[in-house]
Amino acid sequence: MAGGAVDQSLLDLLPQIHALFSDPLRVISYKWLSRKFSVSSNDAKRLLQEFVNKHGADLQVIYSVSGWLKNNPQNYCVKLTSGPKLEEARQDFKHSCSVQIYSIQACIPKDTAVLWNPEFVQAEELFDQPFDQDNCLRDNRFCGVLNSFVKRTSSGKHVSSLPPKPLNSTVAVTHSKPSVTPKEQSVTARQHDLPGSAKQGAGNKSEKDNSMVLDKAGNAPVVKEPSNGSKNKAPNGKALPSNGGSLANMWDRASAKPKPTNSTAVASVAATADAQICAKEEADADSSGDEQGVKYKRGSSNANNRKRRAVFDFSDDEEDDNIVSIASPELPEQCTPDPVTETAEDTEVNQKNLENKEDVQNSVKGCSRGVDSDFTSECKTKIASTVNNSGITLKEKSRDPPINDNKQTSTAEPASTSPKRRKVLKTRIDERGREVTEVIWEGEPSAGDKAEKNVTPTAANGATLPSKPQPAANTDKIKASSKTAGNKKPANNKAGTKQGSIMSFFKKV
Amino acid sequence: MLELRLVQGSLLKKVLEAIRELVTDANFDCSGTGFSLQAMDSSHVALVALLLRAEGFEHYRCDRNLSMGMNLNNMAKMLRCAGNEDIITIKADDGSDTVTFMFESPKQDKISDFEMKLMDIDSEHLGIPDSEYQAIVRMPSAEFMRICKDLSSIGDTVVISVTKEGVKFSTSGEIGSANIVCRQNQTVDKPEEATIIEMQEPVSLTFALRYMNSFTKASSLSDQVTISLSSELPVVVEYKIAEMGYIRFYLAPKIEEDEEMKP
Repeated sequence: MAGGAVDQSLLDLLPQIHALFSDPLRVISYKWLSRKFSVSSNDAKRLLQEFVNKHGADLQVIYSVSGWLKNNPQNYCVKLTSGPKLEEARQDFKHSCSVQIYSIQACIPKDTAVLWNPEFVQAEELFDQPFDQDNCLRDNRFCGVLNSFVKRTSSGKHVSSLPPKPLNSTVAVTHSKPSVTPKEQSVTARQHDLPGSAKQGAGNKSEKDNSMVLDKAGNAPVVKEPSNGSKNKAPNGKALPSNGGSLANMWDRASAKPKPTNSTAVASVAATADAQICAKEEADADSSGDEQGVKYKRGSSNANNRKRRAVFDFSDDEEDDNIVSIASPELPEQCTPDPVTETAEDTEVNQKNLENKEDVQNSVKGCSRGVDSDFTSECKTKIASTVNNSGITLKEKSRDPPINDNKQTSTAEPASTSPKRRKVLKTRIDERGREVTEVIWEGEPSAGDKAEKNVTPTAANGATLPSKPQPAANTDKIKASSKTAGNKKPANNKAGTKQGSIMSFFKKV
Repeated sequence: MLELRLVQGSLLKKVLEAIRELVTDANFDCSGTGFSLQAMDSSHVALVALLLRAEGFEHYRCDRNLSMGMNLNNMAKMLRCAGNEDIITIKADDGSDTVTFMFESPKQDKISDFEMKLMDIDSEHLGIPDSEYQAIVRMPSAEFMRICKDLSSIGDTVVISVTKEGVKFSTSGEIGSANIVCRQNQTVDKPEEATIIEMQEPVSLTFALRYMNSFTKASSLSDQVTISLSSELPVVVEYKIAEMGYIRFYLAPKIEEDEEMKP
């Protein structure tokens, strides 16, 4: 057991661990903890032990048992085991095995990869930080093997440390990190290349990283991806010590399109790992690693074009629709059911649609834009694209144009704290039994304005000309009939006239 | 930063009086080219478009486009505090939610500052295409005002018909009906009293007199009014603002219904 006295400063972290642990999907491993709080891994283990001692009842512990095996003394074995099976696992070891807490979590995950994913993601984040930023992985501060001759400059010009590699990668890491580990030997010589190439545009960098990994790790299991393959023409001999981000990068891209069906078992392994990483990121939405994802997205723009416009388009379009419906009274009318002359109303509405196809098409276009390409691809890749917060920035960019199209003026309005009035729709039944939809200014009590309300009768005798798309037309008539009760209604023998709306002549810009 | 200095301050007063009945709240858009406004009345039947070009101001500074939402009645209240001879300066800071009207008396012995709160207004801007009109009538604005006033005492709507003979305004109501014909008349001593009709083809349209009456509130801005009519378009009632711009009112015509309208 990793007992021993725990510093008070470390104990201060316990509330934070508790807060972290309250997230039910989170796996807190000592490695993760160590990097998160920049404490040594032994301290992290002790912290976890403390935490388990305090809150042991409602959490599941995974222990790492290490020692010489009984049956084959030649083998030193490190084994992860859950709490209930701990004693059983210890039977396999000689009596002097060490038992340390590997991780705590709310429940034992079915897939063991979940145990490792948070660490992996975290390692990527750390390696992906700017080169002038020091972190526990880059300066190797907790590594048991240190070379005192190595000089580190935080500016990143002359980084000649060991290749950044996750600590303690003995247990779970080795089996699933094939593309990183083989290259470690020759890295120090190549370190000079690293900063320069890393200072290229973010897009270049990650793309190159990608192809690099594909190139170099051609023998290692790698997810094959069509678009990447065609772009794979970067044969410059610089072997970048792939800084960990590339694997997830590839997975990101792989998940951005339908999974290749030619995949072997390896591909499916990668897929599950991908899903788990994504799931982890979802659980980890507050983690600082999100900006890392942004870089990936920018880098792999070719594969992610479809992703860009995804989720938020919908809300935008709804917003636009709202604006349309508030501004132009025909939409409300279409929405309000007409109890009397439903069929007539239907055809009328159709005609209106024809008349107003510019408006309608706008909104329809907005919707379909959201639906046709994005939504389908969204379905295919929903994990990746809904989870990756990184996409947000790009999406925000791409949602600007539609806004500008439709509500130029409102964006130009001065933001202020002054009293805000907005138009609202009110539907009522007037004294003649007609359903009347009005656009009125909310928060404006003056009776003078009431006379100028936009009265739009939708029912009964309001049968309209096909050429009159706007329901606001009846304003005067309604007023004359319902208010002044025909005191000076023109006695012209025509069937009657309707007031047209200016909006049926001029389109909104 | 916005600073517009208008020597003929009464123009602004008149503009406000002309539109405040039609529109209660509107966004004033200031750009490098001028000071403009476009707003519909609350029932979306009429639209007013105002332009005061930058050249018309003695000093015009508009660093970036600014849209100021104002309650026109409140603005009119403040502008009424300015004398007819006063120089009016409109000032606003970027990002501020107030606008300042400064009135200087002609003799520079009195300077007043009025600060008004702006408001956020959801307004829709309509694109108004340049159209060819079938008939354009230019006539003294006072005459047009008088006609609208007279007719509105008889009926609710006015039928404006333009023929070769002239322009006919007619209405009918419970008490009877009325027709007023104005003939083309270019042989007057003063050009502002001329009535000029340019007609491509005859046109006849029906409008609500209530709106026409409120348009004529702008008559003090100009001696002449231009009425442009097309059968498929809203009528345009335009008053030029001396060398500065214009105020245009658009009114959607009333449309005959084919079906009977029985209560």
